Amino acid sequence: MMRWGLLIGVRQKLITLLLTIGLVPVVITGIIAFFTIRNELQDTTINQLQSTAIRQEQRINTLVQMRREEAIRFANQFDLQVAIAQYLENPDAAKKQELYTIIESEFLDVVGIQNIYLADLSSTVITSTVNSSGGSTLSGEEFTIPETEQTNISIRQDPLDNVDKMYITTRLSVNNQDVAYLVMTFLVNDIVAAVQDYTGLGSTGETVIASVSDSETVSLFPLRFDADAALSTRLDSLSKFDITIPFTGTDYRDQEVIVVERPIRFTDWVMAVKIDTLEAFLSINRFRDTLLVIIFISSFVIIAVSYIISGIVARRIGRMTVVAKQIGAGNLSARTNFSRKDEIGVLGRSIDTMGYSLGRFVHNLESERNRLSIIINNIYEGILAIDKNGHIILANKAITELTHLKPEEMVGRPIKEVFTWLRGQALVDVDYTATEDQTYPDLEFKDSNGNTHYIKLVITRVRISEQAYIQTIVTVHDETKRRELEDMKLDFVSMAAHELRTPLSSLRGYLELMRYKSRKGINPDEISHFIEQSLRSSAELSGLISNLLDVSRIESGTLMLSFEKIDLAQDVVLPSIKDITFSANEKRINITSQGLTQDCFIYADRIAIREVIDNLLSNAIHYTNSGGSITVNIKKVDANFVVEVTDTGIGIAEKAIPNLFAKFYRVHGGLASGSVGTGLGLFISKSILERHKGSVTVTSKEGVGSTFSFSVPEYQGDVQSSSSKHEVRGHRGWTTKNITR
Amino acid sequence: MAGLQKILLVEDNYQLTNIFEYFLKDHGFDVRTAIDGENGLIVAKEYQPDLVFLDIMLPKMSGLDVLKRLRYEPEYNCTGAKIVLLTNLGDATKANPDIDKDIDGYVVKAEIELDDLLKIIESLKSKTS
Repeated sequence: MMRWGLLIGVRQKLITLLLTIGLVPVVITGIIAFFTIRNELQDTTINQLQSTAIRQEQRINTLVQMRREEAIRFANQFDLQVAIAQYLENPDAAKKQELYTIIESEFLDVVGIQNIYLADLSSTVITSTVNSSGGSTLSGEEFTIPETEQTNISIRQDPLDNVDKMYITTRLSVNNQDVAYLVMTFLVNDIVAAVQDYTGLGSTGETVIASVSDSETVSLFPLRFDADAALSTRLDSLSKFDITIPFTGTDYRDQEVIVVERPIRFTDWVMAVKIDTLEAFLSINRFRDTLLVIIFISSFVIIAVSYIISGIVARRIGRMTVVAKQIGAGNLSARTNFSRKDEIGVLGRSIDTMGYSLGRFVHNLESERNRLSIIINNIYEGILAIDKNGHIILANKAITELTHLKPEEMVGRPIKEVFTWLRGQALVDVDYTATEDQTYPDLEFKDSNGNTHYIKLVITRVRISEQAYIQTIVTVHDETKRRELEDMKLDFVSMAAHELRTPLSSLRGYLELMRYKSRKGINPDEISHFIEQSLRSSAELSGLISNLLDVSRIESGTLMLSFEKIDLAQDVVLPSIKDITFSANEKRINITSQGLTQDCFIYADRIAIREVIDNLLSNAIHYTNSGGSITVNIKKVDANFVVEVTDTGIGIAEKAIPNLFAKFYRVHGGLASGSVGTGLGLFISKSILERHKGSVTVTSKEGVGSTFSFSVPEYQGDVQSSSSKHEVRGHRGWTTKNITR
Repeated sequence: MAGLQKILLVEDNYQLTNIFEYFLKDHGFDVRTAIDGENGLIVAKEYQPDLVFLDIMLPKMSGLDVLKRLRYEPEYNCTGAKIVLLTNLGDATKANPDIDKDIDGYVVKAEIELDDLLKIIESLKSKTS
């Protein structure tokens, strides 16, 4: 929706802009040109009108004057004056005939004269070319001659032939005495031609002539001019000799016209030269119409073009808007994909580039965050971030493993609620708000299972700013394992030293005894016994050292085994029992075997498996009191041979069992408790059995006894394994005498 | 020699016990042996030794427990007996500083010669007299 709204907005603006840019100059130029041309045209029209008027007026004037002079000349003709004078003295027929003859000859001489009338002062026609004996078709108006004028000139239809004719009336004077009227009629074709000679003024205008008397205006050319009230009113008010001033009005044709008027001399006529306004301004109107058309077409073209352009632009702007919004909403793969090289294309590509860069940036941030998260969660140390109110805002995986709480069970809670630190039994108040870094060693933390962890706390103040979100980083070093390991190692070193010294002390004792006896006199039996005992002690010593070396090899993965098909009972277990029976008997322990005695074939290292059984038997003897018993049972369970060593010894505490096969672990704790052994035998045994794809387990009850059982897979044929076949182990013995006495 | 004639050896290494027993008997001492802590107490109560060579690391009951009982529990009639600790540790009293007052000496087994036993007995004897 937004997209279209924006589109319309952009379109409107663009169209308005383009219209303004495109039309304003056209309109202004057009208006200026229109008025300029209009004024010019008006002047030209008026000039033409005036010059036409002057030309026509002169021509008409000439024609009128010519006829008037003709009439005056004839009126002053001597024979006519004489004849009229004689006739008036004695009006007889002869005189009348004489008059007729005179006007007849005049009529014949002068071209253009239609008729000649001769009337007396009482307006009675004496004679005429129409009727020599008198009688008239005259109206009588002809005899009214203004005092100041010599003639009366009028135009009217001749009832004789219904043709328009000019009537010129002149006084006939004899001895300055008016005696008669002379009326001459002329054809007015030439005047009509002159009036109609309306050249250079187009086709719609015309020239009219009216007779303006004091009372009325009478149209002369053409006669229907009478109907033009507006023009006649105007003509009426004109002074005869007014110079022409153009004016506009509506004529008898109901046409708006521009008019120029001229008076015609010797008459009461006014000539009006007209032109239709429409025609006069036809070209300017055409120009105006053309201008309007141009403006209209321009507008249409501009609108069309701007609509198309704005459509393209708006679509692309819309596209950019959509993409920008998508990017804003997190869809960083949104692109405009513009390829054009114009500004909008550049803008679109800028958005694309921005999206790409943003995507890269966010991706980098994400991977940085992931990396940080992986690092933080895989750091062995527990890490807590604390805000300025002492609330936990971050706890890493090590912390969740320590507390058995989920991160959401810790985050947001005050750290003092979640963590209680002890030293001994006393609570330790840890200051998380200290401005200096603090280290709290040797703290204890009890987890939800009741296990005590030994902790070193490091409080690090974040020194970015007072307003920083994270104020303190608490690093929780769980030193429990390290402590245990260190204790074990210390224990081991002490134990190793102790155990090495034990046979060494014996060895040395026997040697000293021999030296002592050699001074006192030798008893060969005693010496022999001492030597035997010395050798035995040295063998123990060597066995111990072997054990230590074995552990080292197991640890470094270089314990070499030599696999072969052997009989677990015949080759290993029974010989071991036989060999150890002496030691058992010495301690008054009864050792017996039961179950399988032969054909217990396994694929194994004979010496290594012997080490295992030796180890279990010597442990059994060690932890069994005099008078106790040890039973060795060999059986087959599924595809495994199982050897069980059951004693009636002191047993093993239940909580010690999980650690029993761990390196350095000794059930009875430290040296002070009187426990002996390097704590390596079971670790070595377990490692050996694992190499044989076997296992070792234990069940025990304190005060009742223990059963150690180990299993080795049945022989399935030689396994050709490069790593387990031929090995060089040297010739040292696998004597598990780490716990012997 | 009188006064420190009866010697009890409490030591779980039977070879060493044999050596000491043989040597001391050869020098005219009355020697009894015990193989662990509990046995040591039983023998001590019955035998009432003048001098006890007491190993620290013993099965069943540690030498230090045996030491406390012999010293402070009159039922064993050994409160006045000389007690010398046998150890293979470098310095037993360092690990257990509070036992110093309860013992009359200690011997690092791997370091002494048999003749040293005689010297120790002599020196204890002179202290007594």
